[in-house]
Amino acid sequence: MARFQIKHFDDEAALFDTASGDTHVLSALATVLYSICLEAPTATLTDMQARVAARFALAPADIPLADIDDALTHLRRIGLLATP
Amino acid sequence: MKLMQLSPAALRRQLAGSGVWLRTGPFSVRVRSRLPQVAQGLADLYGQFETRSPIEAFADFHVEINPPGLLRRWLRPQVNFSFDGERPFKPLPLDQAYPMLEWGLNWCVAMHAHHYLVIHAGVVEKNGFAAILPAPPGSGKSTLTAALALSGWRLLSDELTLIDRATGLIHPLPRPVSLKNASIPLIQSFAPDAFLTRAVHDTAKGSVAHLRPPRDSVRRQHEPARPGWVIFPKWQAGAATTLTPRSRAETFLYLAQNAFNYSHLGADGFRVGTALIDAVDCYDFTYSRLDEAIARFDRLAEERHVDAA
Repeated sequence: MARFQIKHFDDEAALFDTASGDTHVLSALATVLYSICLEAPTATLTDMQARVAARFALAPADIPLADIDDALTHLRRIGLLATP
Repeated sequence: MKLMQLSPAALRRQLAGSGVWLRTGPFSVRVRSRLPQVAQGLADLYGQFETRSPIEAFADFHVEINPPGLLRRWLRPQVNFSFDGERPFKPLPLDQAYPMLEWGLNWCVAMHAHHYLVIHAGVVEKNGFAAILPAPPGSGKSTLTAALALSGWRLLSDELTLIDRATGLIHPLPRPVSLKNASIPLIQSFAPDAFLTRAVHDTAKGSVAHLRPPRDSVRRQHEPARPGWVIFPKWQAGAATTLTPRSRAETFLYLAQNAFNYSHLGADGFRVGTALIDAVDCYDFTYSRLDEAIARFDRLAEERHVDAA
């Protein structure tokens, strides 16, 4: 069985970690970033910014890099992404 | 037979002896007590409930509510709740015997009914769909649950929402509604004909009184309902009645954190909880007037009814 079970709700997602028993909620940004990381594991921060902006129909400048960094930190902290 | 068919003397005698067997929703309970206030509470609030021979019928929970040792009968009298011979709580003052029985019965279900996902929330039904009302203490959850139950909605529970893990349906547990502090006179003035027990003061929750569950809710206590809404009520003085959509993911997380056995159920708790959220609309609800709140809930039920048709 996969370690994580994910259920998408609108733009957000709920996540169950079968290893720890913890439950998390992923914001819309974190949910999109997670899918981008799966599609393009070598994407840089600015690549991600452009892809996120495209998903939300915004300009890249509307997505602060600091927000992306925070969301990636969250995804790593809960174990959904490996720490580089 | 119904409990109301027992005479007061027979009820007291049976309660003090082999106990009184009651069916409450999917559970059966055998209650024993020598205390007259417990007999009175049961007579006042459980008259419409099914009872059977406590010797012949199986009971899920065997509970007892009685004073401790002899000395405590005279010196600041107290009362103990026991479940299968164990005492999960510290004793309380004697005048809190009846509320303690209700709290103890809630604990029995919350700690043992793992064939359900048990969420700490009020729940009412109309037109086949259930509105789940989770909220922190003081938000007016029980007050709104009581008012809806007295206004044409079916009471499923004021405290424990039972989600069937196999079907996703919500099973009723229509026991008395626990009203606290300001909500006691509020419900008395909202529904002067409704029966409430005399308030018990200075409990850990303040003043507490219990509202007798509506007869129709008890009669239909084996009829489950489909989940329709999760609505977070918030009473706010002077506020307009507003219903606003809220994040489904955050709603799921709140329910998971406020379920009694979500952690115990592991991945299946996640499956059941997320399936519930798939089936419902999620809202925040602010109100100050009960009549307006009920009218808004009625509109929701009507809209769902039309959609379902």
